[in-house]
Amino acid sequence: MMKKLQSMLILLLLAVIANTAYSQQKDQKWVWDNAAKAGLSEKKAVVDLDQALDKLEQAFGVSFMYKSGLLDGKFVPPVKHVSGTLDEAVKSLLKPWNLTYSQINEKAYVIKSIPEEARVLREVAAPDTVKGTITDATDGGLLPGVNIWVKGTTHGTSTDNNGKYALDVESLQDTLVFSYIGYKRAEVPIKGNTNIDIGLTSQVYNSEELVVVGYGEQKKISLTASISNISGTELKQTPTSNISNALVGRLPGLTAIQSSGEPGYDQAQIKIRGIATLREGAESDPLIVVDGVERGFNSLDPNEIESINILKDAAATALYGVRGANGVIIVTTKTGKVGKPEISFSSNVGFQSPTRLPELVNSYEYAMLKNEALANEGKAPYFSEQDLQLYKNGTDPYFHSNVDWYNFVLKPYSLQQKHNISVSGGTDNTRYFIALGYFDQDGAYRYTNFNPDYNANAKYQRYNFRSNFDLDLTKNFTTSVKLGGQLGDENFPGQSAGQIFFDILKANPMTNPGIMDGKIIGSVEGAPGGANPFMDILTSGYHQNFDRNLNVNISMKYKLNSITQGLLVRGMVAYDSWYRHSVSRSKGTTTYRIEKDPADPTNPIFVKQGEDSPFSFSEGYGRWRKTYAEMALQYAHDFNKHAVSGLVLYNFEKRHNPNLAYGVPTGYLGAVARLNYNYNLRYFAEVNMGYNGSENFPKGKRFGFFPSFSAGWVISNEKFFPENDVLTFVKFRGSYGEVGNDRIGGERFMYLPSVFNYGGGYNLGVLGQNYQWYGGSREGKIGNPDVTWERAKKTNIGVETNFFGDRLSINGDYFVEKRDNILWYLGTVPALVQANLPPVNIGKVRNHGYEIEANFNSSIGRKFRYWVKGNYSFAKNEIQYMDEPNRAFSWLSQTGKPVGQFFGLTWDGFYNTEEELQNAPESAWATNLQVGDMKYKDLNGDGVIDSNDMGPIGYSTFPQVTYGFSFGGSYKGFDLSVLLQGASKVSRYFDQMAAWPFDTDWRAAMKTVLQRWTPERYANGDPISFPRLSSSPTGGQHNYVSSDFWLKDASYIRLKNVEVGYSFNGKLLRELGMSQFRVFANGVNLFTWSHMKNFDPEAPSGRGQYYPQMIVYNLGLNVKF
Amino acid sequence: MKKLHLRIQLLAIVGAILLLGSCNETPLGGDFLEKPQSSDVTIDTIFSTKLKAETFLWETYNTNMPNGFPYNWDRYAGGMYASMVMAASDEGDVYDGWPGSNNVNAGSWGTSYNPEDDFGRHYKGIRNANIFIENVNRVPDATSQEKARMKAEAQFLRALQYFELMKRYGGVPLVDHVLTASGDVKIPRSTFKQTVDFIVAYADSAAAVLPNEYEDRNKGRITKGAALALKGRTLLYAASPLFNTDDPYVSASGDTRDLIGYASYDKNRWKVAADANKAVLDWAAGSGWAKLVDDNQDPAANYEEAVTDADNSEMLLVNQSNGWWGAWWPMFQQFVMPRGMYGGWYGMGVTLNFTEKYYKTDGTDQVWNDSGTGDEYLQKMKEMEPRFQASVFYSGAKWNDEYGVVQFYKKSDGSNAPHYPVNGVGYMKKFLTRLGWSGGQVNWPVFRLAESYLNYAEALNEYSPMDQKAYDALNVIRRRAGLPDITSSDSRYNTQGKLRQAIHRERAVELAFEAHRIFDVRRWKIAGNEGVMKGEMWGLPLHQLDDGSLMYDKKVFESRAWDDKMYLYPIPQGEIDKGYITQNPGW
Repeated sequence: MMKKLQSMLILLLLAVIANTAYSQQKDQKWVWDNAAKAGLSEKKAVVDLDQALDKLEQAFGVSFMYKSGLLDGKFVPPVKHVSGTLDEAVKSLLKPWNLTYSQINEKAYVIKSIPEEARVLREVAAPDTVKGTITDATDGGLLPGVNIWVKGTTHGTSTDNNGKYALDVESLQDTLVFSYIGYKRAEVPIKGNTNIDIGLTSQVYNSEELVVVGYGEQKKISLTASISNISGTELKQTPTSNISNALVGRLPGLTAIQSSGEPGYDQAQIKIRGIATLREGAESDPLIVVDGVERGFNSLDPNEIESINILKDAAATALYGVRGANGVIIVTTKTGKVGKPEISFSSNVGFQSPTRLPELVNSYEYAMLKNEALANEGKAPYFSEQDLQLYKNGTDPYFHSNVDWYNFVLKPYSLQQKHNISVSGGTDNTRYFIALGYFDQDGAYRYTNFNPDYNANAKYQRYNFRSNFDLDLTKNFTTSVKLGGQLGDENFPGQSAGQIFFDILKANPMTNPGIMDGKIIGSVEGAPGGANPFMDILTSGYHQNFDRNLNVNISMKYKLNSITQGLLVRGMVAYDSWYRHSVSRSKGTTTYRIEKDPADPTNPIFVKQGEDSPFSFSEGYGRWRKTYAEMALQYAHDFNKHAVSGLVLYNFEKRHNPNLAYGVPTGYLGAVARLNYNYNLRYFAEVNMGYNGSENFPKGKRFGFFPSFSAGWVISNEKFFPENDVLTFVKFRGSYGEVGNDRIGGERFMYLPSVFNYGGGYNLGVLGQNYQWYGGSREGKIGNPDVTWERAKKTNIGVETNFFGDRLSINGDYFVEKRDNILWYLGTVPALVQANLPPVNIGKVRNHGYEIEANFNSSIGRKFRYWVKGNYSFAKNEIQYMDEPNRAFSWLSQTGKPVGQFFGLTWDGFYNTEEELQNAPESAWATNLQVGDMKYKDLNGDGVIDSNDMGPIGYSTFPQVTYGFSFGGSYKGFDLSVLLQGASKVSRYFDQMAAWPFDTDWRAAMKTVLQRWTPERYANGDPISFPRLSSSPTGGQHNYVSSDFWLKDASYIRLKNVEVGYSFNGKLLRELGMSQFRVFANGVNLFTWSHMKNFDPEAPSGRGQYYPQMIVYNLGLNVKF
Repeated sequence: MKKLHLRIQLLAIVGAILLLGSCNETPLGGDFLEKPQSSDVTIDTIFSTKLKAETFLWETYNTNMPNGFPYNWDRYAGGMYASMVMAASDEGDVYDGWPGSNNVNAGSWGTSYNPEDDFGRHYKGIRNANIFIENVNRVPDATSQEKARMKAEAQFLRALQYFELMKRYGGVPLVDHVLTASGDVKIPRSTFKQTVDFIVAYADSAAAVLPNEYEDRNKGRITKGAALALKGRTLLYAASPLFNTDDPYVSASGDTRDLIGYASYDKNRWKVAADANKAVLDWAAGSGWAKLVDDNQDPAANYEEAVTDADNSEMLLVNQSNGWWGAWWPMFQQFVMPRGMYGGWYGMGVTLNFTEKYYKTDGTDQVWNDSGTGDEYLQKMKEMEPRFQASVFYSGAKWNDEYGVVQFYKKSDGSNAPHYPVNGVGYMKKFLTRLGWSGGQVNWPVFRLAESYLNYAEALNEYSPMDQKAYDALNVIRRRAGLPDITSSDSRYNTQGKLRQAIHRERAVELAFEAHRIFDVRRWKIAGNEGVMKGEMWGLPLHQLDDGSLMYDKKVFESRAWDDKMYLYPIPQGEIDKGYITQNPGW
């Protein structure tokens, strides 16, 4: 098959060569270049009149005759549509030029001038000129190239580079129409004014709007796939360090979880339409494509981004073949537009502060609770009355310290800043966009410069640059060069953030005073516990990463209208290179142990522990490089009411990384084909085919064919659809197709035979003489010669509607996905085998859900514009098969339940009285239940609470429901936008020190445990939200065994983003040469409503060892020249 | 104009050709997605030379050798989670609540969690042995004698692993070949008898091939003595009341009955066991090197050397997988060292229940009052026999020169003195005496010659009550420990039952903390007795009075749970669910 494809491509290439040679002789016929793609319905294209007529000749099979020179210099002004009958079309073309025509026989027409006297009349009747400036209503930016015409005519003009226009009108009672791609069309009655300035609002729906799809773009009206998008403008409103966090809540079908706020590592994990495979990790992550190449997008600067599109159904993703099943995110960077250079500068300064941190008990509370816990177990108190007193009054800071470690280790606020400058513009044959960005985010650690030699605080600095050039070498040959790069400099404490936050919760408030008399305290005599979490930051040196990432795209496009109208060939080569230099420096630091003076036990003696030592140094490198290339043949042509377009594309990729398994590069190879058809903008059909292969699979199983079929019907364009102002647009669409996923969680080259490796071993010899280690060898993974990709069968049904003249749009999608061939481990193989068995393609998961999205744009008067948007997504999956053993009870099995479902006992209150205990079922985790212990539901009713009662509890880590609601508006220079975002049907499990006091005896305790069960508190009717205390909780104890008591509902609603801005306007601005001066304030994660008390609702499950998510308060300004 | 077009077209063509046929990784070539050559190691590589095949044997050793010391955070690589097996029997306890031994003491273990054992892990070692056994004959550059010897080592290790399974689960699936996922892998349990026979058969065949000793550089490999010792221990277990009985520990019938023991009692099994252990003693006498350590003047020093010196004449087989226990890695010292010493977190406490099994130096029992002064405490401790001095660290004793004499007690102000608290009378000291801030070398004893004497004495007394040879064997051990001999004329030892008690007690003391007790009390069917695996555990904590003097109190620190089904471990529920294996009764 591949051989065939290759020979086909070679033939095509030969055809191209032959045809370009042929076209030499017919040079004068190279007039149809841009019309071929744009057709007559393309508003922006200015087509010579004779060319337009040629097109009509072809379309209708007629010929036009005219005096030579009659049509010179005449062109087709921008119009909305030239359609309808031949007569209508010709008339509309000729009328603006005072031309008319007459038919002389069935196939021939004569074109001539309108008689002189008729023209004079018209000139007399058109003495007025209307002038004005057109701006973007949202940010006040000038809009060049806006089409303006008199309603009901084709008489019109367009704005210049400064957004200015002047148009002669016949009557000041006419109405002007303003139209611009991506903006809502405006109709303004002239009403005698000769100066009309208006602001155009960007709009959700425009029949001419182009949407980025896989390997190309398509008119939005013709889309039959499920695609959501967001513009760069919206992204900029969220002052986060990376793109993934800016997408949250804005795109229906996209779920994101940000599980860390650490500088440089705070990107969110993104899923599209939930999870449809058996793993929640990278295996279910979408493919991310930046400018046509698989790349990370997190380190891009939002200012570089034109748009982000997410491709959801098979119609949209089948082209990506073995890589598209989890959805695709397409990022398009900005390119220049024709016009004089526009310089845009923006500057942001912000503060970050943790969204939520657990409140920890103080030393007095801790000691009291610990004694209570010991008493519950019949043990003697650990702390004496004197200890309690000292903790309470704080008079002995040395041996009875009291530290809130979160407060001690973290600053309340840390800084971030962001500056950006970009220049864009273009001439007729060159367009450019150049941007430079700087981002700087400080970590939250306090006292990190305690040691004057270095600063261990986390810090992330990023320098972005981009230069995108488009060059039209000839009318037919265009080329573009996109260069993007990021330099990232990161600084961290020598210990990981996970370790530092682990150590915070590992410590108790009395273990150590932290820093005393300017000395770092390592330990204190007699203090329980011991570790000073602060020492992780202060004594482990620091670590730096210097990352260099360079992305290059070079592409060329050659129009082959000489062969046939609408054919073009294009190619692209991309090269990415990433390099990291890591440096670690550490330095022994003197710490002190506080000991009691034997003569006077209250007197502290500082005993020096260790010495300051010189820096040690180590460094490391990481690197990879990737080459990607694609070559495509495209065709688009309208035949009267039929429009056809197609694409054939061939691509390959190699990625080299010395750290990859076997040290050999990864490779992809594939071909793509697409065929679109539409009839009169009413009926749409599309077929997509991805055929590609991955090196991870054995020969013969490497390549997969992934087709998709989709269709759409714009019922509102039907003749029978009543013209009305309420329901102005209705489209139904549906798709079905297959897509693959080769990121299946296994090792590389699983098809290779079983491997052995060298490792392990044993000591032989006589101790002290020749006792030595003899290296061993081990059986490695067993090969799976049949390994292949996962296959997703996706069905999607969607409806798009517009109401009230496109002011309100409501779209909905319903989808079902059945995924099989999921790589999973055989679960019924006995432990007797003990081989490292490979996963096999056996799993099946069904995923289904829906998305609803509504947008409303309107204005009150001319000055106050506002918009409201909302989206709601639901996705739920179910494991259908995973070779699970037959469990004794149905609720124990994962099959039939969602991926990542939590399991555990069902909590049912506390045992409050001895009487309740009498009738209590036995517990497999306790011999003597006591009052204050947890009650659980005995699911199988056998009178014993054991692991057979551990059914599904809560949901899983990824929410089933996500939603966003935003609104905003502008009035004069002010603008406002607000985004609320939420998730529900989601759970997190916390245990050990993130949930239990005294974990491994001496770890931290949170204030929430003060509401523990005690006989007194129960008798008083106090609120009780915690079982009786234990002095050393472990998962093997009755109260601490897995149950939904420790599972938290992680639903939340956030005030995710607010932005308030003011754009200055006026003379001064213009005199300074500025076209815009805007100041704004915005913020992220400003407020969170959730059930989780101790942690942010996006915190990862576990024991709380993660860097917290941040609130950001930001101030900025934006200037354009 | 024409020329420009031509040039551009040429450029496009050249570009396209370059693109399609770019550099060395041409996607037009059929191998674009083929994995390039890299250094793959397969089973053929491993068994291509003797040197490489040996590497697989070393790993087979590594994965089969039992280890009683907790290793890092690995729940099953040694001991039990963050503690030693001794803390899960009447020998000892861990003060902190979280280490795995507490789950056993609380009875909170079972089909879904057993901190002491991972059923499947045994079969990893067995798989390695099977791979070696099936492939060693392919090695071209080894002599047939070398191959036979290496094969015998692997067969021994496999048999040893089956013994480790047998003592915990009874009869188990006998996997004697390399299993593949596609083959018939649902192998049911063999009967107890078949399992014992399998172990004995391979112990026999290994003993026939293996040498008495190795040259120095190979020391640590399996000798004939180890093979004989495995046979002796296996047969002793097989003859013991748990398995060799008309009356199983829980009612069971038919196939299940055969899984958990023999169908009926057969006295002759004791004879077979006695003979097998006698064979070890005979072998040792003729081996030229294996003998009890008794060269020092001080019996305590002899005992200390026998259990701590990783490489002494009494060790028939030790686990040498460890090269050096670092003080901070792999966590061993943190888990087992007394609280506050050399990184120790909580230490292994030694119960009063167990302390009472030690004799006083004169061979009589120590008597503890309910309460007494610190001086009395110390006096009584000092009267205890040398093995106690070498095994248990009590308040007022000296650990070493660095720490000197150490006291641990509750202070009069209610706070804890350093190294306090501990559950029991003090800390386990055995194994730890040679460790320090830089760690140390101590190897887990798998077979120690002293055990074979005790095995022999026990089996013989059961088959031939009060046989003089049983007294003699027992006295060899007592004499080395500095205790007086016992005789059949002594009214304390003049019946089969009294001698049995003496043998059991001697075994507890001599093999203390070596992970024998937890299985011995099972095979003797006494685990359910009060104060053994069940009921109150006692300690002798010290507290300081206002005048600074110390007092001890006999105190219960914990009450433990037991259920008779626990005589044998449960097969993990996850395996039961796979539908190929029968659960032990009661679980």
